[in-house]
Amino acid sequence: MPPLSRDLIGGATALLLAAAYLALAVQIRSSARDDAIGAAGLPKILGVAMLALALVLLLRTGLAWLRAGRALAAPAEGGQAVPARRQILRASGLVAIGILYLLIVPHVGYLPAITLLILAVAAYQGATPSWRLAGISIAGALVLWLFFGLLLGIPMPGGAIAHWF
Amino acid sequence: METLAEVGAQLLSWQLLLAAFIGVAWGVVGGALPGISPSISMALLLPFTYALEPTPAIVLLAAVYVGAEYGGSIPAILIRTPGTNAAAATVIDGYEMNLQGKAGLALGISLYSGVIGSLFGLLVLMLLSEPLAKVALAFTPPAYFGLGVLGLSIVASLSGESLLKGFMACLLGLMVATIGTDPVTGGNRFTFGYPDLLGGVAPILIMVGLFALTELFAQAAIPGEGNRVRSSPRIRLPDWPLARRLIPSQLIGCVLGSFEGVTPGGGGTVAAFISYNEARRWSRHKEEFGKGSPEGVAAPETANNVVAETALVPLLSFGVPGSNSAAVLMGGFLIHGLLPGPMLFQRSADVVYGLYAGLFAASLFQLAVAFVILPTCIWLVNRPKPYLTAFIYALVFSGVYSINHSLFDLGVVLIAGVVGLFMRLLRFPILPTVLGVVLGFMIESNYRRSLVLSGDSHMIFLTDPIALGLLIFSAIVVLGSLARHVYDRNRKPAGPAAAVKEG
Repeated sequence: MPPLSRDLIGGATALLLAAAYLALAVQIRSSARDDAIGAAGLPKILGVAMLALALVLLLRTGLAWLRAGRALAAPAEGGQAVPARRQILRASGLVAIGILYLLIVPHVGYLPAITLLILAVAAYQGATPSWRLAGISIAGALVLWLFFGLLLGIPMPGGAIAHWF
Repeated sequence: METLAEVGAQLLSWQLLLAAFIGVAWGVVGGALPGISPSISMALLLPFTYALEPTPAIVLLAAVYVGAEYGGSIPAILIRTPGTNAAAATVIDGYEMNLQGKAGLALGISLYSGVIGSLFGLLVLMLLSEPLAKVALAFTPPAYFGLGVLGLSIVASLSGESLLKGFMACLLGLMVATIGTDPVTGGNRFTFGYPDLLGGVAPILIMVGLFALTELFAQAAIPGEGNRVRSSPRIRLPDWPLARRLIPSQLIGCVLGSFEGVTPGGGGTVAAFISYNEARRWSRHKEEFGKGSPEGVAAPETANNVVAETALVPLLSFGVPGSNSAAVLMGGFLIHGLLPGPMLFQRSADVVYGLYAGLFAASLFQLAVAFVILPTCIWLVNRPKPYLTAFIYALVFSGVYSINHSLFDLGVVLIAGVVGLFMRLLRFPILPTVLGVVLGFMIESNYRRSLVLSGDSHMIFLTDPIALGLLIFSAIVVLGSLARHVYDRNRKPAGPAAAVKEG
């Protein structure tokens, strides 16, 4: 991603974040126990500071864009946009596997869910689907379960299936 | 001298040595698992101490603390995941060394520096407990505020190519730190009705998300990202020229770790980051920092291992546990009918000497334990990338769940990972965000407590000598970093300068 696009997206995102944060900060209720600063004091300061810095970043980017000239900046951005989108899409797959794990683990329990997680991530990252991959996934899940569940005694999610037995 | 003789005599006890060995081994493994903090590792062994004599019981717990502080550096170096909060600064250069195929050396430097830090911290604990305890007592809310600001002052030098983006990243961290219960009024802020957010967002969740998951997502997103030279599964301790080069950074870690350790709540994270920054400032090889500098591993690792020992000063001197780990250790004392504090030295001096002896043994046992465990760890991270990624993902999820037994925490870590990926793509540095999250609560709560104490007068920060000193030093650090940044930029207008590459 070219620097100008990067900073433009970064500045705009920070601006939105600051605005949302400030909007929530002003809604923080004051209390009879409030000190001089109050519960909303620091959040307001942080929100305003982020807003100001985001504006500076956008302004700086705008000036740089003007200096570089639209003709120079536009093709470069257009040419690079696809790889950036692809990068995000590739990463989104891994994020989606994580979200799926979060959704299924309360139902199927830790051991099956973590086995599926290992299997899915390894396959997504290029491991050839095979019995070997399945074996490694099961072995990895067992090692983790033995360590966290058995040795450390951490109550890993049992899942709804565990209640049937 | 008398103390040393007593400690020497205690070292003949096989029970004590066994407790120290088991404690260190458990601590290293616990510290190496993301999510299992030193205090959790200690708490898991607490029930076993009932059956032990008081001295081996206390030594067992203290040795876990020592081992866990070292263990945190293992995943920091190998998989870019700090096993403990204090290992966050080790990620910067440790992981870079790993990418260059120098994992064995990075782990060796971390081990060697950790042992030096532990032994130095023990010496300080034995010989300077009394004067250092006075320093701890002198730390009032304004001084803690100053300490927090000092920690935050290194943001400018961790910002990489853009100071502006560094400050914005830091603000993001400070914003995250405001989530939860207000430290003064007890009101809720940004909790959106989720009870899981009432206690705030634990810094370790943000660190694991920003470091570990961001790295995994980036490896999935960017072809070639994370590809590295395979490391030999051998631990390499530094040779003499390198060991000599590391001395200044280790000294910095020793001094800063000693002071941070004795201040209740100061903690190893702040010590590690400040030591890293100071090591870079005084290094002859500044340009290597952020690109796999051995000093960048040595300074924070020395500091956080010193802290593991000196954090016991307030506990032993006043009975004040300055950290979660010290609180668990205090629990160990109480189980055996021992009350930490000034009278402990008179009523149960043998336990105190036993503790010193156990800590000494534990510091040395780190070497033995590491030489057994680390080759396996390096072998594991040399496995094919798809399997490694999958196992790290599963390990992170399992470790994070084990902190609070909460699936909500996994969601927080996932969000932090996604935010980290976007920060990386948009070239925002991650370290200032981590610092903001770690220090935000400390700064705000102590700032407001100071104002409550002074009747809303800011003069309290000028009349408290420690606060004033720390704030002046912070200003010097910020101005120095800004000046260096401007100088570097003018000298190399087109390049990213000697910035911290932390992606």
